Amino acid sequence: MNQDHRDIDRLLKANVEQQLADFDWDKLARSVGRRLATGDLRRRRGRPVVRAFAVAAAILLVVGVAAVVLLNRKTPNADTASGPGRATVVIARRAAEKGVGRCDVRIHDAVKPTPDDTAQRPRWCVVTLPEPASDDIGHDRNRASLACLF
Amino acid sequence: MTDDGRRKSGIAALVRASQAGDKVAFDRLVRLHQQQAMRLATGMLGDVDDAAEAVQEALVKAYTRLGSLKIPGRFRVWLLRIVAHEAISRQRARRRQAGFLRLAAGYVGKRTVRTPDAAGQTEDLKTAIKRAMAQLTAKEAQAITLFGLEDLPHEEVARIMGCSTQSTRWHVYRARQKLRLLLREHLK
Repeated sequence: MNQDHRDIDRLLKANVEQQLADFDWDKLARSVGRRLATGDLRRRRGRPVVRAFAVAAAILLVVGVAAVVLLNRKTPNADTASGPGRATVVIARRAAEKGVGRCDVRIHDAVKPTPDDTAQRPRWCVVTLPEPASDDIGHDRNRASLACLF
Repeated sequence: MTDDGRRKSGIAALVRASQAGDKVAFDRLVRLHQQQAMRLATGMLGDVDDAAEAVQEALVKAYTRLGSLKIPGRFRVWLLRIVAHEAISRQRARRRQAGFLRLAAGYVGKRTVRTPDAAGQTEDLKTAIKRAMAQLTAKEAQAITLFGLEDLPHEEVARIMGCSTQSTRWHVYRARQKLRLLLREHLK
């Protein structure tokens, strides 16, 4: 072992001995004993600064999730009819089985009709359900699309 | 029976009693091993307060896992392994914390937050060693502390670290190489 290595070991030992010189050994043993006696076996949390970051991160996460949920609630299954007029189609309930799609639809007027545009009230709408690409049978038709005429 | 043999059988008896739920026996075990556990943790972490938290956590963990210790005579190696793992876990947490603090300092726009990695003009030996140990890998820190500081033979270091003696030799060598550079100011 060369001199450098001996010096490094000596330095490390001196540092540890110095730090432990006035260490309260009895306090450590008592702390362990107290935790065992009170059944407090859970892992102790980190330092306050780490806890503060953890709390801040948790709050941000909760706020983010709440925001996403609220944004999604504002447009629940709503779709705008592609026909004339400005009616909104709300898909109230969806059900899908193999080869068959079902849904209940309520149609709401998005705006109050004026005397001029009563003739523009919606007369039809297209309801589209999510579908796998394999169900696309071409010619602008697919199994999940459904035209409703009124 | 030699003194060492009597001591080992005494420890084995205490371990068996602790396994049966005797907290007084475990307290005796704690008092018999806490100094070596603290030296290991202080050596690895470079800070006595961090080490005390790590050792306390390790001792509580040891008590809860005592049932998994099949050979009571190996309590010391088993405990030191738990202490080393706890110290490694704290070292990693400290690195994450330093990263957070650097990030926070960056947002503030000026370095008002003091990080464990901040270089000081007049840092003392304790700070220098703490910083240097944080630069080592977990295995290197563990190996140099057990071998260089605790003077344990490579075979025992290997048992505690759960690797071969060749590996421990390599980790000790690498640790010394790094520490020689990192602590050159204090080695003059």
